[in-house]
Amino acid sequence: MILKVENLRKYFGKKNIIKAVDGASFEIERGDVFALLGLNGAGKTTTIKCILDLCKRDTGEIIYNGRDKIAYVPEGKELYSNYKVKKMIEVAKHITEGFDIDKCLEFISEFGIPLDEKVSSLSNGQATQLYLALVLSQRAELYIFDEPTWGLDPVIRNKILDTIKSIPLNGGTVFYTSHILGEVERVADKIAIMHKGKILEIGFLDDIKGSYCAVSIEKMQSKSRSEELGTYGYLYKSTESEDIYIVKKDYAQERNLDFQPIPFELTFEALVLGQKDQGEESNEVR
Amino acid sequence: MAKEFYDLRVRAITVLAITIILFFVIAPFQKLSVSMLEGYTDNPAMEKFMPKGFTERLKEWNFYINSQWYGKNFGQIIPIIGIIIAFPLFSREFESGTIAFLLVRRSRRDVFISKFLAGLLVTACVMFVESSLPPLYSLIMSKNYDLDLYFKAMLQSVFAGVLWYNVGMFFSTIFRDQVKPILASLGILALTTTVGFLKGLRFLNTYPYALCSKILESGTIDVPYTIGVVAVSIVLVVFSYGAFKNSEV
Amino acid sequence: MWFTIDFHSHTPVYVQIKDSIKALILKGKLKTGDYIPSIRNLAKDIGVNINTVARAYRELELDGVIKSERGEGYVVVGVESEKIKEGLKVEMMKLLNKCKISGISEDDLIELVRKIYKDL
Repeated sequence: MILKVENLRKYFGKKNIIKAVDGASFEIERGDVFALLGLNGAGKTTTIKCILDLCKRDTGEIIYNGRDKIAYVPEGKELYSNYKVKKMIEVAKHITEGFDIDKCLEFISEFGIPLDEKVSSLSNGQATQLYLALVLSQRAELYIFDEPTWGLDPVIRNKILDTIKSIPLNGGTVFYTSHILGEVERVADKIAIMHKGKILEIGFLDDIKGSYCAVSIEKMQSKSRSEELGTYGYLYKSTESEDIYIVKKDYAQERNLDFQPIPFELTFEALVLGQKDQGEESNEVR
Repeated sequence: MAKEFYDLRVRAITVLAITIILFFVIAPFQKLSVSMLEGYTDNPAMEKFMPKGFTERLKEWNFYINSQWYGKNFGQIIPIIGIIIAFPLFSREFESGTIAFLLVRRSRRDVFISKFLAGLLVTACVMFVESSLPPLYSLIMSKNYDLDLYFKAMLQSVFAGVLWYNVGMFFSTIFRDQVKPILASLGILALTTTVGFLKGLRFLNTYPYALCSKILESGTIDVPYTIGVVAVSIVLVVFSYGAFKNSEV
Repeated sequence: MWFTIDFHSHTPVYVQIKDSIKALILKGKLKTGDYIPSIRNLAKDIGVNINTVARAYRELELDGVIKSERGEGYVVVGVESEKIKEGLKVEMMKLLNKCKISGISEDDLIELVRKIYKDL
């Protein structure tokens, strides 16, 4: 285990009215590519900031078992905009422990980033790759990326994802956040789904995909079972004659219902939209 | 810390350039200033502003350059110099988000110390160089200059500059954009100066100290005030560190 | 060794890996005694996480399809290809049952069988 987050809470505002992180717990093993999935505002960035001590958590434990500092690429990829690329690399070398400048220059030439360009003149994609080069050249065991491919064109996006995927091959561990499901499917092996500060589901992506399904209930039956279905399922769609609920496969199998496999997007939608607001009864998919 | 010095270079050079210009506005023009003032001494209204014999004293080089430099041009901008060097120290990095780059690589303590010390050194050096302009100029122009007063004025200038550097740094640690620290620092400067006209609160006005009034009058350093300046500086540094240590990114 | 993986499929990735390796054995491209790539190399080649490949290998080992040999790697234990064939037969039965229930005639099904085997 390289990182463990236990019951993390971070609140903002008067009387703690904004529960950015509301009791999140998860563990990351060495070699994982662990993705924290969620909509914007779910609490993913705040979670990362608490892990890195960039902001102070209100309660909870954060246990990091690595010896090296955690490598981090923030969502905004903010670098010193008035520096030239080579100055930025120089500064990184001075400040970062265990910085391999030759490795960095290799990455820079591989990515095709001009050394004499000002950081502010780089495109989004180049800035991301520069930050990536800096971070991959430091001695690190855990790499944290916050929405690494956001705002990038598909070609660069794939390059960056491939780079991220290669990290465990060299002994590292990746923790990253995203709201792009298709991407997460390609890159992560473990995921946690976060919504309104809480973790709704956590585990191997393959297992989570396999444990939810869709069942079709005739409208007549659906009315009488609506309370039960409301508690254990998420009403995805209604046709003229039937209601489609997303439920856990175990539930469907127990009740001998015919079920169909569903794409990951539906599982995500069911988990996230199945949550009612605070105060009402939770409509979690159990 | 090398990075911090690199980031300071624009402000340091600007401040040095402006000050040197201010020096050369007065240094070569002793005769001219004296003759202009002599033209006024016949005017009864001006007699109120100038103590008797002031114009006569100006004919002496030491008095001229010391009163016009330490006692006017340089002394007036010392607080501004300190504030300029300090104001973006922390606030700029918070505003641009680059503070995260530093904080995940170094501890808050290391980041604070390198920024604080770099700015402190630059402020002290700038103050030292600028307060040394009179003796340097005198040497080059072969004028007789009394060094004793220079050493005392230089010391007070450095302390005054460092005080206002710490004021600027403090506001830099508590605000997240670059504009507020300048406004707040200048606001405090204006406030302490004006309130210091009230009896009993005279100590709040730092200008007499920055303008080396006591040194010019009696040739001695204002020791109690210097101790006060050091004490306030230390308090400001402690508060700044506390604010930075607990700040959220 | 390379085969495609559909990350968006309902089939879990590790199951796809297992199936692909089994298919290679059944086709004869992998024989008993052949070594398959290390977990790391396969992960790199097909662009999948190490953990996922490791899981596939673990299960293949439990199924008796491959065996891990110290210092050498993973070797194909061909005998168990019989097990794979048995598994396929069971799947076939399930499918045939569905066809029967849906009303497809025996003759139609035999036609299909003939068609496939004729192509081989």
